[in-house]
Amino acid sequence: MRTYVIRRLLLLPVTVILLSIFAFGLVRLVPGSVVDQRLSNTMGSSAGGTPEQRAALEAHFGLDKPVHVQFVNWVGQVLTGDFGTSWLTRESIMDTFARRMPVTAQLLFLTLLLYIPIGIGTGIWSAVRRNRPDDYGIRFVTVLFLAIPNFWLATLVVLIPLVLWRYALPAPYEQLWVSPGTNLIQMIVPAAVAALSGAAVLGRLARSEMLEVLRQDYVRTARAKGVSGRIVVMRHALRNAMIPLITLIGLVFADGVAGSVIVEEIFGLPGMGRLLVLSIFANDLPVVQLWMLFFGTAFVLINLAVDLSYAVFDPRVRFQ
Amino acid sequence: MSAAQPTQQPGAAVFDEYGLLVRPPLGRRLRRLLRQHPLGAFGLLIVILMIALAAFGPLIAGDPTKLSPNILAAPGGEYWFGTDDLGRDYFARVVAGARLSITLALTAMAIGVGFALVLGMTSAYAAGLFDLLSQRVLDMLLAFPGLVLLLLLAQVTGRNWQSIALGMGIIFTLGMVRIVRASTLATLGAAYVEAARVIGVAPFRILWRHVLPNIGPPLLIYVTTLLGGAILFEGALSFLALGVPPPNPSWGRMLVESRDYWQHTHLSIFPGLAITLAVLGFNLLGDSLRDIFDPRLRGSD
Repeated sequence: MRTYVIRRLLLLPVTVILLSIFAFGLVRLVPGSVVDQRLSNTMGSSAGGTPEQRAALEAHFGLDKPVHVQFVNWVGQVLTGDFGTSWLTRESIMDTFARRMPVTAQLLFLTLLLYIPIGIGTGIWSAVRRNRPDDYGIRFVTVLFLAIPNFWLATLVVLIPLVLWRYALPAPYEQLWVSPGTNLIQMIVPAAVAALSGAAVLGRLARSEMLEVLRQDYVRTARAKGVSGRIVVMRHALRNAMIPLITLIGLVFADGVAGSVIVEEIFGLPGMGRLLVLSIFANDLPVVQLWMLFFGTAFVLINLAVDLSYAVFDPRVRFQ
Repeated sequence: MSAAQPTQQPGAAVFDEYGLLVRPPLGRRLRRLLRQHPLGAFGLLIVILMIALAAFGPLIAGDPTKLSPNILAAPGGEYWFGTDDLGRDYFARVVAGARLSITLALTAMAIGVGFALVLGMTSAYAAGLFDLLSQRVLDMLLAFPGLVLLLLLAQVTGRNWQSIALGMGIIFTLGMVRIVRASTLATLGAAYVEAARVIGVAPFRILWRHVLPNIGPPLLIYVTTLLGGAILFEGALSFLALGVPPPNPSWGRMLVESRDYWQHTHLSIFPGLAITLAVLGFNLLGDSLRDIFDPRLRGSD
């Protein structure tokens, strides 16, 4: 167990270094640079500015130095807490993240609040009532929701009340501490859309895990010695089925972030997902690379925590 | 050698004089498939329909870019699915959307399978530092949601369909390399591979003759489900306006454009239905393939 933990912890810096190279390298591959954009904006479409203006702008953005020097400078800045400024808005990226992070955090929180009980609940229900009508019903809905794209579901959720009752969600976005009521209505609908789309995946996995556990010998033994059905399910089966489900938390979180990209766009929420799309559009490299580094590190840390907790809960992993 | 004796019960196994199983004729195999895996057969039907639409769509449904003065017509009559804001036949456009989605999905899959086979088998066979490093890089990339990586890759490679197919192919490679590597490692440990090595069979021949056939089934199952994922990816990308540009009809872009004309609900309903149907087809087919190739999991989800 200890060597396992130590090995995983030692690999963590390696992964983060790889991550920073990846985040930095990928955005550098994007064709067209901010210099071209600035010059065509200010000088008219085709002029492209004089060589002096170009050189001045490149120096301003630090693009005149070789790529490896740019990389080292960037890492140095990040390590000293200077996250740089956006090329698009010229705002400090730290401020942008601080303003947008709470929106996505609230959205993710609400999504998971709906997502996990719906997913795990339907999965277990369906496994326990295997091959009965309610199992078939749940599986039918699950298969359907796996196929319905979240962006269509969101479109319909906006469209149907609009067509039937001329009702639209309140806009623009209000902060939670300014007007909680409006904010909750604005957030709960997108969260529900993201949760329903994701819960189908979770439900399916929960069902197969539960079925796997239900056919174990100790469950049969418990049944044979007369333990009531409910207790077998809740105490013997569910506890053991939960262990593999822990490994899904990483997936759940990544899914939630991907869902927030779509959902924030459709419902016009000023969060991190929308920021990514906007920055990619505008070739705002400092924001994109920091976004990647930030969420990449978060994903890696969550996966590490999941793997370690798995080892804690499952002795078979611990003693390998 | 005498012909196999047909047994009385239809569908029962038939054996030849050496007690070996005789493969039943194609018609009977199809009927059995339909009976044992009705949903899979339904999925297969949808998949075939989608591929046919992708191949012959414009011949069936007409020109998706032809303008007409009938703008925003309701479904029915001459226009089955109505018309859009430029008076284009919406049925023709939805059908033409299949071409982009299916072409992208199949191309991305071919790229992904190719990359994954080379990378995964090399990684497992070479072992050592290369294996360790490539696994770390994969771990890191797999931590990202596919959609986020795809958004970035699409920006790097450009917005034509070949570039997006390449981007999707790279994303699919990430997941498939793991499956290929695991299957390769499992097969390399088998006694018959060891025997082949002992008699001096070349590494490439071992990979080709012994490892590859074992990777097939798990990869096939994964690929079928990913094809559905590819269609969702294309839709999401176009929906975020980072997909293939107009005038090629794309289901995702039709959906996002429909939001300006919300009173005309047919504009939002048909493209969404098309995506759902296509993804459903691939998913149902994938589920049945898993049941067929991996009986251990039968009925478990």
